[in-house]
Amino acid sequence: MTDLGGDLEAYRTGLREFLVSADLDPWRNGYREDVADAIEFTAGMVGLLYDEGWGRYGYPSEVGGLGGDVRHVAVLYDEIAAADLPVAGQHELLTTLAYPMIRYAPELSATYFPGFLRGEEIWGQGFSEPEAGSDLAALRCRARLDGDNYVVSGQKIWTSYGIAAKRLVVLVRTGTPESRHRGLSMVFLDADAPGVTVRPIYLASGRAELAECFFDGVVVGAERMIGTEGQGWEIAMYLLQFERAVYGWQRAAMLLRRLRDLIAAATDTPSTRERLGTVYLDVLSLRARSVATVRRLAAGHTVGPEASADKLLLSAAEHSVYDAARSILGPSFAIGNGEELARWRENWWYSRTTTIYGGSAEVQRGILADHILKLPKAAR
Amino acid sequence: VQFRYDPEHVALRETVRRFLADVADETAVRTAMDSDLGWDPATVARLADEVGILGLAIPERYGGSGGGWIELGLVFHEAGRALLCAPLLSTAFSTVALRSAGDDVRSAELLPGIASGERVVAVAAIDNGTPATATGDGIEWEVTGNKTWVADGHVADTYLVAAGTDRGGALFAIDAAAAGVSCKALTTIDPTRRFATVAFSHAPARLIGELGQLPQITGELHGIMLTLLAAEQAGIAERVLEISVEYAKTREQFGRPIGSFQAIKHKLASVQIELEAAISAEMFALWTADNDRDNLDSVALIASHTCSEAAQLACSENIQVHGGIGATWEHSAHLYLKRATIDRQWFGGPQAQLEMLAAHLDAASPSG
Repeated sequence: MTDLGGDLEAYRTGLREFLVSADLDPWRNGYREDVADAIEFTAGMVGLLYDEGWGRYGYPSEVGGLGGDVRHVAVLYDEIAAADLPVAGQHELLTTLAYPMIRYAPELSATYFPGFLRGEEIWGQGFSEPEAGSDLAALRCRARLDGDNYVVSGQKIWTSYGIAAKRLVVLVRTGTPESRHRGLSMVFLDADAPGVTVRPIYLASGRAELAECFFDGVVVGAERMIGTEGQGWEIAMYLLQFERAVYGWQRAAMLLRRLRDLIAAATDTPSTRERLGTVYLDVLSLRARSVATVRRLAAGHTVGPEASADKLLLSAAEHSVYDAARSILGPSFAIGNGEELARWRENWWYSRTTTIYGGSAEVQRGILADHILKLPKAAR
Repeated sequence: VQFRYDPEHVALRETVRRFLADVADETAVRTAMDSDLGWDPATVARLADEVGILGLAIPERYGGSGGGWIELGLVFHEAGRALLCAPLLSTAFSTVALRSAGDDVRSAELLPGIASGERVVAVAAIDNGTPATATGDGIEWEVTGNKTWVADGHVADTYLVAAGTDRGGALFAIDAAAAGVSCKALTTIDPTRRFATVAFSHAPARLIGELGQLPQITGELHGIMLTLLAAEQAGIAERVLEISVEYAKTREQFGRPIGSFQAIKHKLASVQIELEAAISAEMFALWTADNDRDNLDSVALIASHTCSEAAQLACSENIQVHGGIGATWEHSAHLYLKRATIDRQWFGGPQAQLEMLAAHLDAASPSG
């Protein structure tokens, strides 16, 4: 038996064979407009991938994995998109939360991560607050030590798939209000704990993709601290590397798949050809960058401020693909019945958020200018 | 040539803006867009009675106020600013079509009800598959065919239907309640407006104008409607920039208003530049519609493209400046972008319009 954890090509070959098999047909080309339905729909697929082993590579055995590294995860998402299977919300959240949890909270991960990896539960991420968006270090959600527990009070916003989340990874202030990024910590909460209220946020598409979370004196055991007190910013920065690299890779895989759909829907004219060619280049630019970043992470390197380029390439590629879809679909993009049109519209609206979430395009450019080009800092 | 609005136009704009602020604020818009009808009948009745919005471009002898396309364009501009929910698109389409056909009998029959808001008359000009045809003996007609993107088609009392005959295309009036007429609402990206597909099967029809007149009418519809939609998009861009600027002045991050950051300043200054171009193109096209009809085809395309680019930029940057909140359902940003998107895509989208404009340039070139 080949060690698939050590042989990426063998993993890809075997995985591809499995993904085109009839076992996956219930999910092929599947789409659910409602977010809760979508999560329930893909949970079965994520569970099957776990049971068959393919979904467990890229993670260590201590947390339910079968070895290998983040490149396995990238291959999984690539092949899922290529096989016309849906990108699961579960997988989207794994791209950001898995590695920081495994690294900074190995014990919690040993207990809880297998359920996440199997698709039995989904976790949410609580970073932003209404008054702390671009300025994340201004966040105010507070965790106060009380004996063996922390008591969490405050509010988080923009939690992806928050209405379906069973647990929440929350960035909180444990230092003084003025401590900025130094006084932050990260805690692991149960979404059904007393004092937690989660409300859906409907996006322009009408989908409740996001949520806001309210914490009113939520008691959480000190053992639920991820890393140590005061380590929150470091963990958040560690997490962002994976958001840039692995999530970006996952989106790029899906963009290639949607570009295929668009080519099938387009009428062959010279201007359409030129447009589609330009779009393809935008997606390939993202992939070329992203593959290098994923490899660096797999080799254990730290990816720093240069990852802002990955994020900007991602938003450019998203805009490029879906703006082309809007243009090529013409009036039916705006007016017309049917699931496929609904899906293009939903994709287009979601693409608008790519220059906002995870640090706005303006913030990313600022990071590149300050930290990579080393331009003199503006008086902020 | 006088490129500015007359004092009475300015007064009309102010009246409409004030009125819409009263009767069509965002709360009213959201209530209307969630309703089956798509607008509040009481508000529409007041718009017709107190401001005469629906009859502005309808001749006085048919119950309107006898204004030009400029007046109606100013209303479209304000409707864009306010996201007005009302049967404005169908009113404009049917007014243009009936004025162009110049049929006294049909005008007397249909226009007064449009002006008073008592009757919704929708133009069904875009074929959904096989082109519609009309057959008849010269007096009695019947029409068969499927039409799509019929603005306000879901509640129209009468449809003005484009159909081919053996003596050329023509426009026909068909009652919605007549035998052989069925309509189905269409999903639209824009919740502030309604569109439908309408199927006609041997539906009894009344000829409007003359056989063979359809190319003239659709040409007129194209020029005037592109102009009016351009005006709406200019209004959207103008209002949305105000909203962005207001937010940039009040929203604080890093301890200061975000409008103090150069990234935001330049973004909004760029919108301002596009807006200036849009307002000028809008004015030029409205003036041309009333005073230089022969040049409207190319001028309308220029205005449509300029205003639609400005609206897209303004709406996109509005979302960006607002950050996450700008992408949510509860914020108005998406409603403006959705409305602008319909206006932009209606006549084929920017690419198709640029190609049409290029065709005008070919025709005008010295070698041609």
